[in-house]
Amino acid sequence: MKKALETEVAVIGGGVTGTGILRDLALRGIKAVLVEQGDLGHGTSTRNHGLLHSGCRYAVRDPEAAVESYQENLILKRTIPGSIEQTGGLFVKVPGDDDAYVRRWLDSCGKLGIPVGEIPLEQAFREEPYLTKEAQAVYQVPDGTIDDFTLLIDVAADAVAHGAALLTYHEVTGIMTEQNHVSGIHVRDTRNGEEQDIYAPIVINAAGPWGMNIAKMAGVPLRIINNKGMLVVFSHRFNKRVINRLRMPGDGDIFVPAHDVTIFGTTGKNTDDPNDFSLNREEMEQMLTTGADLIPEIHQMRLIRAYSGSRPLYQKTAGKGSSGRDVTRGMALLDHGERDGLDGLITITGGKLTTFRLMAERTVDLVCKKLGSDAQCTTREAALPSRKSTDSFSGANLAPAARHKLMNWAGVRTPEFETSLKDREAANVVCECEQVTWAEIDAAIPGDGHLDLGDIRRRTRLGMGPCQGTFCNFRTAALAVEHGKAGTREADCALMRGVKERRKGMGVVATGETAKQLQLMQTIYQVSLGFGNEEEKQHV
Amino acid sequence: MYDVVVIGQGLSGMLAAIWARGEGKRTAMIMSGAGKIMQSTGVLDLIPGSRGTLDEWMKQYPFHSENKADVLQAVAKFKALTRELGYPYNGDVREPVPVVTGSGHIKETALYPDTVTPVPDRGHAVVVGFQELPDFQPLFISKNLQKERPLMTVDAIRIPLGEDSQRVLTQLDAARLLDQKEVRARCLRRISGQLADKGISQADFFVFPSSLGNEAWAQTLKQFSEGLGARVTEAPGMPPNATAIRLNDRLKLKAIRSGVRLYADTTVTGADIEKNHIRSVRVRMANRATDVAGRQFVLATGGILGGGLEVTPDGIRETALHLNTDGDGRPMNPPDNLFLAGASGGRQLTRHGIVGGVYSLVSSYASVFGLRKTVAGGMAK
Ligand SMILES: Cc1cc2nc3c(=O)[nH]c(=O)nc-3n(C[C@H](O)[C@H](O)[C@H](O)COP(=O)(O)OP(=O)(O)OC[C@H]3O[C@@H](n4cnc5c(N)ncnc54)[C@H](O)[C@@H]3O)c2cc1C
Ligand SMILES: Cc1cc2nc3c(=O)[nH]c(=O)nc-3n(C[C@H](O)[C@H](O)[C@H](O)COP(=O)(O)OP(=O)(O)OC[C@H]3O[C@@H](n4cnc5c(N)ncnc54)[C@H](O)[C@@H]3O)c2cc1C
Repeated sequence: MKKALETEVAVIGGGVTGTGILRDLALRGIKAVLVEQGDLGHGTSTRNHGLLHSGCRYAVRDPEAAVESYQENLILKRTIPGSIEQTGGLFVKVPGDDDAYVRRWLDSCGKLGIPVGEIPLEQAFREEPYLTKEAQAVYQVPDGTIDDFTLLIDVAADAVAHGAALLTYHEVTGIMTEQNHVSGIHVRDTRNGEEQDIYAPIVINAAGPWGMNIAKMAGVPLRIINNKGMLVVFSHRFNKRVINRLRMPGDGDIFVPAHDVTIFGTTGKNTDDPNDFSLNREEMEQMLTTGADLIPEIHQMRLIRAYSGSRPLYQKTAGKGSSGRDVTRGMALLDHGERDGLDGLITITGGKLTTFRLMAERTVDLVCKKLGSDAQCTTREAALPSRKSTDSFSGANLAPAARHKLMNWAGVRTPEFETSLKDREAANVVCECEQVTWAEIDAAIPGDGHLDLGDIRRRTRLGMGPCQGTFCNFRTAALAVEHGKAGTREADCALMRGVKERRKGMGVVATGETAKQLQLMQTIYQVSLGFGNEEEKQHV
Repeated sequence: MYDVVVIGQGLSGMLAAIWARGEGKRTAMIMSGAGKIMQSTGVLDLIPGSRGTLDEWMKQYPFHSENKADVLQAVAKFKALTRELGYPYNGDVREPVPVVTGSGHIKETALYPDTVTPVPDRGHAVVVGFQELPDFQPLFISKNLQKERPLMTVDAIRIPLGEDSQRVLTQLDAARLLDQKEVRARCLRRISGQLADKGISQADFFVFPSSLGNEAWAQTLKQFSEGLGARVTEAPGMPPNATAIRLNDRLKLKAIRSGVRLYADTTVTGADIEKNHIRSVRVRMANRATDVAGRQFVLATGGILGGGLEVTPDGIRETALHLNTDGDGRPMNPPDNLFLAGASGGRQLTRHGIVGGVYSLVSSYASVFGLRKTVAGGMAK
């Protein structure tokens, strides 16, 4: 018999928007289920720049979005400390860029109350040695950086801790309606094909770039432009703070430090297919050339991978041609009852990572209105636990670097790891680049026997360093079999999938050392370990 | 002035240098860092990553059918060399054999040292892992091997190698531990104990990581096969593999002892080429630069993996001599006294990133002795 479930609100999409909504609902005591077709962060929420905007970037073009960003910036620094690094940011004016823009920008930031201060050039050069010496003016702003992986994991965990339910690897295949009201969703388990109905009087479409598909299922009109941006990752972190180019926002003008690397981007090209994560070398080369205006040595620095994601941009009037950046990045909250006569369906889209909490607040306010509830939003104040742990894991036999990593990573799970690390083997470092122990990996493998190296990577940073999983992916898959966490078939498949995925991101940036590393990965798997035969066999 | 200057110290470079020196030539070998053989498996394949006969191999690589005798002679010369080095290689390039890897999958190889035994079709195998060694997980390996060999019974056990195991070891670390007699004896005791505990009956094939001793591999092999009463094999996989390190160390020592002049930590940065003839190569050492002159030069700098070729946004570049290359990195119209050995001949020679050990040894042979009818170019007189 088909499984069925009943709840008050069904949330579609496990990106930062949907996950934020799930937490807000849970904190207000409203029963909710979130359905995500892949792992948490399958979409744009792990395919972005990770910049905690100060609002400055939008100060001239979109003051409303700028203010929202700045306010959320302050709130998130307080409430999600575990996923934010308060790096600060710089806006740099280089020769050739419009002087008038600088004046308008300063004027607007001032009016909006975003604190901006000019710093002497010598100081900027001292603090950011790779910054172009051609810089004409440098301003500091309260930008920060967000680790979107930990953000999603922590927000979701808090929602679940407050009673919400989370179904990953489940795809929404249909919207149920009764007369002019939604009554729930059909979902399908993407791994075993099992179907299920979730009954809910309110359904929230937070499917990001896939939002139009959901609207279509419900039979309501919706136009979203997917604007795809490409980002590249450098092998090391060469800037302390975020470095922005001070001009009207364009391609290739932001350098964001993230843990031990620097991420540079981005571009913007419209695409019709939300599943289009393709990478284009020419687009990347152009972006790098632009980036050289800020960081002249950019071409000498080693790239370890590239990725892309799409901004879902809501378009009010369908039809008008748009380049993506002309459309507001502001959020769109649509009550399809009012708009299209289908009550109970809400779409929330657009916005930014930085404004996810506000998007959730507004969405759940609307939900409360519909449910006749007067529960108030608490996420402005209610903080998520920090990721730091004062405990030094003294009981565990850990390498110093692994200990350091855990102390900035384990957070509320410290007691859990304290226990699991008592086992000597669990304390062994499996991923040397990112200092990930078996204990962390073990905790990230779901109990249901599904093994996915990407899911583990998002939870532990496994394979994110310069070797891009060459050594640790193999160890992880084999150890999973060893510890009864997966079958061999599954481990082999996970491994081949993992290698393919890493290869895709490396392929487009594969010159110099990264080309070598890519080749080494291929040789080790296909030749040394004999997986080459496996592929041959599968083809016949 | 040298007769032969070899650039690069991988398998190809070392063989070319040793053989040239063996012909009485004054020989130099210029080496920056360590050769890729250090990351290799130590077995020599025909077509990397796939099965294939010698005939198919000869077609895929640029040889003529008449070259078969040369190929066999090159292989015979290599095998004789390894016997002389005290690390003998077995196998026949006309009949590749299946060997088990560190993932439990089976691959075909042509030449392999004494520590590697081809995997049988049936019988009872036990995969032995060491607790401290994350790169070799016996249960995973045994299950993959079982899939590959349905008629075989495959078991797995795991023992600590050290006295007080806490450090994570590589296969090479483990090999060094097993150089000690007491460690070997303890290891055997633990294996017997585990077999008894798990009720595993007498097996006839034991699969180990590529760790059966570094210096004392022969004693380890003997002690283990006698102690276990079965055939024993190393299953090479994740680098470093002791199987390959032994070959590397012995070849290097041989080169030194036979009088090859080694330029360690030295990089070739260019050449003095006149009328398509190399007079000398420019080299850079830690704190100085100089020229090394020679009559003949062997380019054994490897491909993309070895660093002889570099992928740039504008295409593939030859890094040592700055030769013009085609889209695959194959030198176009190379100097008349330059010979290409191994992966330096361009990307069209590599499969899954490498050329395979057999091509390395045959092209090194060709660069010293020439082939009857040559495509790669041979050192005539
Ligand atoms: C290149 C780029 C750089 C960016 N940089 C920044 C930045 O630096 N700072 C910032 O604040 N913002 C940035 N953004 C914006 C930000 O990333 C997005 O606004 C945000 O991640 C959108 O989140 P979302 O949850 O709405 O969408 P998504 O993260 O895409 O989530 C939608 C989810 O819905 C799921 N889904 C879709 N269809 C179904 C279905 N049928 N069934 C079940 N699940 C389904 C998808 O799998 C997906 O996980 C950037 C965006 C891009 C593209
Ligand atoms: C991970 C891995 C697994 C392998 N597995 C197998 C296997 O299973 N079976 C098999 O048959 N073979 C295997 N091989 C070996 C491979 O087949 C070849 O034998 C080998 O890589 C090719 O060797 P080479 O001598 O041409 O070049 P390399 O081994 O690449 O050596 C070239 C060396 O030249 C040096 N060099 C480069 N430029 C300069 C310069 N300008 N000046 C001075 N020195 C320079 C570099 O330091 C480099 O190490 C493997 C190799 C690797 C890396």
